[in-house]
Amino acid sequence: MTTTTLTRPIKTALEEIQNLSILAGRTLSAFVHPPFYWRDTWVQMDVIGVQSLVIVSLTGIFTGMVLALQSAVQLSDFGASLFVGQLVSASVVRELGPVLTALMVAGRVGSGIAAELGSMRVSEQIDALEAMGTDPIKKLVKPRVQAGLVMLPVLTVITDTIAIVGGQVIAWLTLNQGLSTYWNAALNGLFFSDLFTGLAKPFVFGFIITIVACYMGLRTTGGTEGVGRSTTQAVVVASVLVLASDFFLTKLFIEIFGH
Amino acid sequence: MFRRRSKRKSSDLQKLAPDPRWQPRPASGRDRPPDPDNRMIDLEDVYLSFGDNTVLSGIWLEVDRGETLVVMGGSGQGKSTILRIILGLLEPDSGRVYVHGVNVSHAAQEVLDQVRRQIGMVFQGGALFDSLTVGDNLAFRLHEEKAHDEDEIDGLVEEKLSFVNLEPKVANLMPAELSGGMRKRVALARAIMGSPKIVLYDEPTTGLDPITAETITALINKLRDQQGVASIVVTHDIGAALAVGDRFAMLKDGDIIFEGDADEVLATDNPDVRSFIDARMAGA
Repeated sequence: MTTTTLTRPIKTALEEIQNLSILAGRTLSAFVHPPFYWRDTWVQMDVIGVQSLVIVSLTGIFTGMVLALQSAVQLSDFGASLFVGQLVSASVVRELGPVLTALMVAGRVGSGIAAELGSMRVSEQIDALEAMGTDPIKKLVKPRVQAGLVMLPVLTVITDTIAIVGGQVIAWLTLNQGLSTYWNAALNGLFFSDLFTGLAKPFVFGFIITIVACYMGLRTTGGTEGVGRSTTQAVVVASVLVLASDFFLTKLFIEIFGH
Repeated sequence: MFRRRSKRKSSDLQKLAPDPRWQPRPASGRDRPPDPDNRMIDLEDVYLSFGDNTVLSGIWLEVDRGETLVVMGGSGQGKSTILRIILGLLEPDSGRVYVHGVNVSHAAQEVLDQVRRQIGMVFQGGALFDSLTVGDNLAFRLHEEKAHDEDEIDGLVEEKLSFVNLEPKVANLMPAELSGGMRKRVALARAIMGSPKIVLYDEPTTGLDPITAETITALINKLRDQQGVASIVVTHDIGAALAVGDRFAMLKDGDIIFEGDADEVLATDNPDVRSFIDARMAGA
């Protein structure tokens, strides 16, 4: 095995990171530089947010129900079934809500963005934009990233709420726990730090998912086969980066809030 | 990949002044001296490589106002690359590219954007925006420039559709509803929306039946004759080339191996040009 064979993948990976960073930097810079395509942002908010409502609602309800089911069994053994609501709310708001919502959106929206921009790239529509003096980053990437930044926190709040409601249904069915008992425990289990963490993470995840998907779409080569490849890569890379960044964000917030 | 060209102060952008180093050379095959006012495109000693693959190796080309230059050559010879370099979508490794005297190779982004407004480009597949209607595709450039009101834009859309022999109702169709020939005509109409001084065509007749191809070549000639645009047509369709071309250049292995007018093309004994033409004629 030659040195070139060994170094080429490293060089390629570094180039990808560099290009992704340049795209992210240029997109952030475009946030404060006209033109602004607010109508496109509005459309993307619908695509990323409203059209993801069903999938995140299902994710939320089943996550909450499973959490309540598991914890009801475990906590009953210790006579602590009153804490089911607390366990569900804390787990969902701090961790599961943001991460699972992000993973679902990465699958649904990330693939859609990569496929759309990839198709535009291979059919020369992006070149046509540039040829007419329009910056594709301002026209295509900025609205999608803006929509991701706004809608991921909104979707996460919806997932969290539905998950806690799902937990309440299970607590009522399996433990015969009343509404007020469950909700008191659920709300007592939440601190400011949990709410802050639970809203800050999806903000970052929204950026990661949309910028990765846009990057994969814009760098597409190789016709329709290339579009398929970009779509897969967008979902895989965005999902891995969501999980990795979740670890570092959790570590950061623990350092900041002390728990 | 995503690097944008450097910025300039707005004061530098007030006027796209010709580069003082620009010395238009006589067009090949022409005895008369070059006229800077009429010279629209100059490529001077342009080199471009992708890694180890040399695509263009020292290209010299020039196009005057009201003239159509046809660039011929086989697939993968760098024909479309020339158009992309003129548009500033690709930067040459070395050499200079002048659009009406303005050097666009390594130009600042804002200069490039202004130069691009003088150029219309007809892409091979049309490159119409799938998510927009035909009317919105045509109006796109004008909406971006924000220099016209909606009534003016509607009028211009109708005018350009009429120019390419399409009815106004086509404006309401989506690109997916168009036939191949209609797509090309809509792409041409979009390219001329800003009344550009230069139009670039990338394989304008590829994939079309002979009658539709003839319609497209007639439109290219009509545009040149009525509006005096300078055009570069990249094609390997020799029939279309002869129908629209005033001058011809043959590209092989990144180099111009032949330049001349239609009579010289048909009479040449250059073996590469001869075999290209004979093969295409036989194929037709």
